[in-house]
Amino acid sequence: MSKESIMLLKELTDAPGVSGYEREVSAIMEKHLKSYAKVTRDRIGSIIFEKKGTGNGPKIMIPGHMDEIGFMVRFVTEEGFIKFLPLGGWYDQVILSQRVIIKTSKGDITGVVGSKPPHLLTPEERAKVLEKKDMFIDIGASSKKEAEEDYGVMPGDAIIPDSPFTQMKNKKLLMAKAFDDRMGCALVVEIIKALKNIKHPNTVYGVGTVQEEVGIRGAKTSAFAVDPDVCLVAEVGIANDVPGTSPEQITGKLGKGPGISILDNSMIPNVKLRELALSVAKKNKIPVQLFSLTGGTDGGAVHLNARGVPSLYIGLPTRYIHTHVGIINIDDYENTLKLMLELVKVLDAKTVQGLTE
Amino acid sequence: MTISSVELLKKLSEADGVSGFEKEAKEAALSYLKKSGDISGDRLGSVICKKKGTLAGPSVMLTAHIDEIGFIVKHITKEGFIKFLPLGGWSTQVLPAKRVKVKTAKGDILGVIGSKPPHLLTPEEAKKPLTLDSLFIDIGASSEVEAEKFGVKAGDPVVPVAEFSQLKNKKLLLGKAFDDRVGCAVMIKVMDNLKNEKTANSLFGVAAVQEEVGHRGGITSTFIINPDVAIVLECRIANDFPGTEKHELYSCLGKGALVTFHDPGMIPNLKLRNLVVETAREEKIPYQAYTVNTGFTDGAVVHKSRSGIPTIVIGVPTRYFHSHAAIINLDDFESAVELVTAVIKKLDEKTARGFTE
Repeated sequence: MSKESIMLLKELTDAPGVSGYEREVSAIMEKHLKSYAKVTRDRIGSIIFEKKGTGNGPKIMIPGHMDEIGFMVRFVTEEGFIKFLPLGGWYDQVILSQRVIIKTSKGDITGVVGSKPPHLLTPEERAKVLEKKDMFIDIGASSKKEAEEDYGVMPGDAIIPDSPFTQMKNKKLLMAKAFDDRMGCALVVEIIKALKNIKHPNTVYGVGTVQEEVGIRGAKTSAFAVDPDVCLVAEVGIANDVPGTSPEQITGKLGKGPGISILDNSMIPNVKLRELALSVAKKNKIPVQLFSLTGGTDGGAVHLNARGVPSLYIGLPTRYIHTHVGIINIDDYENTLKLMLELVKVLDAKTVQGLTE
Repeated sequence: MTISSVELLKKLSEADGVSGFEKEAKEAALSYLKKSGDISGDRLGSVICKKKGTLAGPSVMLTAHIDEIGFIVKHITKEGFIKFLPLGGWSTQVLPAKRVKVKTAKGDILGVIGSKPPHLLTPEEAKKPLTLDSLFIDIGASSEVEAEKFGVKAGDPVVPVAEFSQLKNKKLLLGKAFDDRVGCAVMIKVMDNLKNEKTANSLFGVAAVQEEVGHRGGITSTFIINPDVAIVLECRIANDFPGTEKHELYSCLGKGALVTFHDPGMIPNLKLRNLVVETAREEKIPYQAYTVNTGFTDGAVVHKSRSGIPTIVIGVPTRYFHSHAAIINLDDFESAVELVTAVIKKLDEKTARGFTE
């Protein structure tokens, strides 16, 4: 278990960066990689790290999205409460009584998503899920004027889940917000760093993309900028090896290795690339899980770039994504890193050419 | 030196102590109370602090409950997840994706209440509130055997994890367990205020156990003290937030201590109630009349003890209690302390006798 990987995951998951507000995350990635790669950007904020290998090989794009799900200030009520819009897909029942941070021009403000005490809930209310549109954030302001003028809260301010990175009793299990997809950002950082000492017959473009959670936007523009020949998507997968899931519903288990996607709602992976990943995993004794998913990834945009890009989504099994507390197993992270590096080593011009023949 | 209210509230709020397992919370309270009087208890675990000095005159009981709502381990599944029972009244909608701590013989184990990601929810599921028995706690154990190795056993208490914070407006305090550590804090401050004063009564401060599961420590501690007058200190509902119609308003933050005129568990002794209101007016202490039809306090059992005890409930308005994140206003807390201190100074033999004449 690498301490360095854990520190990097802590730094990246603790960083605030909801869709459209990813600057602090890209600054962290840049800090780690500026001496390892050529740094450029697309024009909506994605950051691109170019690492040349031997010869004039194919271009491999490895996107990990920097944005996390969160909220945005819609308006402040006369009484000083914040009504909000979701950024990304939130399930209503995981939002109540959670802490959040409002990023204002005057600094960070702690707030909480208010909830009625059970004493005030009518039987009808108990039987109904409270919807986001009826929720509010309490920052302790007593009026709109106080919230806006003293606290600096304005419509459009980003709202970030408040949840510190924590190692569990089993130190391999990590609990944090925003593994989706800072875990992918961490992989991009570690892959580019590792390639300094690895011979690879291609040019690797590690990309921190923006705005995945609101519609796979940064992947589209950064893919245009990179114009890749092949793509490996570094994303979370879903581990649902939890009570209430019947064996046939399980899409991934913690600790059983990276997931290789067979299908998601945004992409059918290039089948030869998928087979290659499986054989590389087998050869290197890396455990993998095959999985399918409702939902999409950056691959959905990248694989349709220009004339099409052979792409594969590699998903790291994660429990409770899209909440304040995801859980991953560091073994899965390390195996994903290993698998991606081994794939990078073998993706030479001939192999990539073969993917579309 | 006077006790810092913020420090006291932080210490009590962060102390663990669900119903039946109040040890740490009691220790926190005792660290203050032992300076204010002689310590004894009832046989269920409630702490009683008898003020030194004048012990003639009527017996006055100042009582707050020390337990907080939480959970208890029901069993561990084969896969290492914890199924639990509630201790106290929880709305299930505030539970998913919340951190909790299992208190085991081998130490505290961090866990999270698991939830399905939106990707896996059918539209029907997303609209249906979760039921308590479908929820589980994930402590990262991979099997029943491993969870037992962690020290987890059926019957272990489970405590909400939430740090105490001051909001941007430093008077607003955010934390768990204000119900009823805020009442305990009022009791501790009053006992401290009066410890060197001669009063015309015998004063007993009580931290009662097991209120949230049925006013149990309230019954036994009242029996042993056999008071002539009782003042119950409770956290009560502030619902001055969006979605509350004017006519549904129970109380507001920042507008003073709550004098209960009616709740479903008790009608206060009218003369005692009038004395409290007069005292607030004389001393210019802000107060709000609290007249509601939901929510019980230990007053429900105290006033029916033996042949009946003149009793009043004085409360601190609290938003969002029975969740991980409640909010109180320090001014209201101080008003309650001031009001109770002033009332106790008036409770001599003649006044106390007059309540039932």
